[in-house]
Amino acid sequence: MMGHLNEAQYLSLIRNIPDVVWSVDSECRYTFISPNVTRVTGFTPEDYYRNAGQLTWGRMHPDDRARVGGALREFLAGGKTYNVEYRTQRKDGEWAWIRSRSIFRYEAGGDIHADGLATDITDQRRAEDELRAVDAVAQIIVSNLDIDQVYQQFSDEVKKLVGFDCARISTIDPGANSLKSAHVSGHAGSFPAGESLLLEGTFSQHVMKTRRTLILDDLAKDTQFRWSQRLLGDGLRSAIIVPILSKDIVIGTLLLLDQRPGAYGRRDQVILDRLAAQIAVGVENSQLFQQRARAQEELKLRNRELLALLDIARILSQSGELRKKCGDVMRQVAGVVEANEAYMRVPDETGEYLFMAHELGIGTWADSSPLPVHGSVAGMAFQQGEPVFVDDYAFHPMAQPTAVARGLRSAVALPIKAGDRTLGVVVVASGKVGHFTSLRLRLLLSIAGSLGVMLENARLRDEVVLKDELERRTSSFISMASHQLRTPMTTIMGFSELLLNRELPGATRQRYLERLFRNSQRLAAIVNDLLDVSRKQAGKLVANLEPLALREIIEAQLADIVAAPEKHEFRLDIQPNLPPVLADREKLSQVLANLLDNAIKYSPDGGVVTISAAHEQTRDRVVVAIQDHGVGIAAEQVALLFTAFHRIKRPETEKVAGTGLGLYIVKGLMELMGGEVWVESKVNRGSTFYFSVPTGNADKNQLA
Amino acid sequence: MAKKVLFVDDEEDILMLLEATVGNDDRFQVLLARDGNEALAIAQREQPDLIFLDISMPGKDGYEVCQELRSRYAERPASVIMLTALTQESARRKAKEAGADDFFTKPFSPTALLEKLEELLGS
Repeated sequence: MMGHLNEAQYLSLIRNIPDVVWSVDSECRYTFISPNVTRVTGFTPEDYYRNAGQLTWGRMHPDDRARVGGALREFLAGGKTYNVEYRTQRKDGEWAWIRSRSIFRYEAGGDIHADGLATDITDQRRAEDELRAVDAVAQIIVSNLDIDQVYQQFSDEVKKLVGFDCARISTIDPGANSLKSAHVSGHAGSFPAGESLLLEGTFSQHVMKTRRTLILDDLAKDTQFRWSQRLLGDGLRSAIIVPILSKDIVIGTLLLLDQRPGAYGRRDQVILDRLAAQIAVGVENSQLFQQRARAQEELKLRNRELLALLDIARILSQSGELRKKCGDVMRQVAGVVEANEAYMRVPDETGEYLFMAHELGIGTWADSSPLPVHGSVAGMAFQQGEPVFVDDYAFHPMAQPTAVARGLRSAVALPIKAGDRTLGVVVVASGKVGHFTSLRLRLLLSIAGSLGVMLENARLRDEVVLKDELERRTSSFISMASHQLRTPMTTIMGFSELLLNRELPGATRQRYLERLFRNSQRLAAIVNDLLDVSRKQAGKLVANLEPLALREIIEAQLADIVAAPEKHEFRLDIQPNLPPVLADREKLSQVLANLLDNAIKYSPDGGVVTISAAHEQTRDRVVVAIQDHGVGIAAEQVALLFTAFHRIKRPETEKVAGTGLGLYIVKGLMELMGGEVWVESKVNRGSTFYFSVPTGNADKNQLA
Repeated sequence: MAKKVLFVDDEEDILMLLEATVGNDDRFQVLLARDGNEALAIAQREQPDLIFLDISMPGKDGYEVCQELRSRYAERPASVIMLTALTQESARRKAKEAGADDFFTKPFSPTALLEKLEELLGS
């Protein structure tokens, strides 16, 4: 008959509906449950008849129990509908989402019964969740540049969706062939923070090779992988490792660990694969971001380098003494790398010692005495032509004691090269250990490289300029010289002619002859000076050095002076037991004569001239001072004092006879003998001229 | 009437030589100056007939003094002879431009100087 089913047909229908038909009494015991339940939960109807409580409630997700229980009781008590969704754990341990709704409530046998249908909505639910999670992750990545936040939120989604006790996101550093932990959720465990991909038996290596997800149901049973035992020790039993792929290349891994064995299945793999694809974008973004940050750092560094080099080039291209320019450059260098000191040393002619190439600024206590090439850090760098790094002066065998005493700790000595030649060494030092980071070193290396070329150019240019200057000076030297000569010559010729052509009274004749005589002397003096200068410029001055008793030479000079009637008083202040000096007797006398002469010339009548001499132990030399209380020298004139033909332009001194060559020659002679000459002066108070002579030790060589 | 001659030179010995050359001659009255300013002051006061002017002097050099003399004494210009050790052609030209009448190089012969004086100042 149409429209009628017999009982057997009904049963068949019920059996074949995908949903589960159920019937419960007021005690929530099953009076009926269709066989389809086995498909959904894995348990048989008999299991449910026997053990309704355990199977229904015990296996329900704890978060859902209260809600579902309440809803069912309410319905049984007379509520309108019963329609719930909850999670239940299947027999195989996996979770399923169930929607259960009532169809009918009735009374039978004095008890309330309810009939209903339960549907497995796991797939739907899962799909929804997945979609939502994927969406959420996509959102996170798009809206957040802070990769740590992205990772954290990602982990949260994964936890919601799949669940874990420990999760770790790692990224691959291709250059270093290693895996680095980027984010960890849950208890970290004793997993290493990063590992080499070349290490055998690691999850990551496996995943790298296979490019597929790896699931380990029970670490206790694993024999293949390295860290399994450790993880077991942390209480973790199952794992799933998902490769994070970008364009088919593994750029990282997602590792989930769970305390229960078999926590992860294919379902999880599917969704995790999908999520991993999302996070790949995030990883890439963060890598790009880091690259960009690195590039910016590089750019900043490069800018600093260029600016520093520009500054240095500017200094070197300005006119001025190369020595002073080097000093300025070194101050720049110290500033650029925030070091305490920077200085340049260059070799002497022998190549055995390194001298300071410039004056040291006020406030530096660097030792300016020469450094031996074999026995100093700077020397090492110079010899080897390679940079030398000092991590800590306190422990370096070649450290100068003065460096340690000055509180310097780390340093770097860089050779300055032009082509194959090492021109000198730049030493940069800091009071902090390990101050010279790779960034600063790069800067210094760059500077040292350019410095070599620039110095070479500057030196060449200076030499050319010097040559031009020299030529100019020489031709003006010649004109100056001839000018100087003509005056005494005029006088000599003139008076001679008068004496020859005229009848003159004896007194007049005497006067003229005196003039004649004086001027021929003057002529002789000028000619000698000029010869000295020309010899000096031709580099042909020779000093014959011998140990001399300075006192004796000074006294001899004074005797010469006092012989001529002068109105000055001379005082001697010579240190007793003065060591002998190594000098050329004749030239030293010449120097003294010149300086004494000046003291007299530029001193008021009756003034006191004091000559003192003392041994300066630190530099093993004797310093002589000649002090007058004469007209003094203005500060701006001091620099020109020792140049050729310079004469002080002051009214009082215009009448003073002189070639203007004296001090120029004095300087040349002193330098020839290995000494120095300098002056301290105050206008109208007087001047003190100093010169130094090395003491006489038997094993010092003759200078030629 | 003795002609006034002004000698200007920063070198003491040269001045002495010049004075020795001309001093005893009644025809000439010798005036001496050691620098440009002194020369201008004396020139203003004494109105010399002839001035021997050294070029290389500190402060005002000979050219400057010559120019100033020329600009100041347009009415009764003195003859100016430049005395100098400079031998370049450019120096001569410059002297001419500054208004000098003649040029005398050092070292000079006193006799030649006297001859020049006589020539210029008549006798």
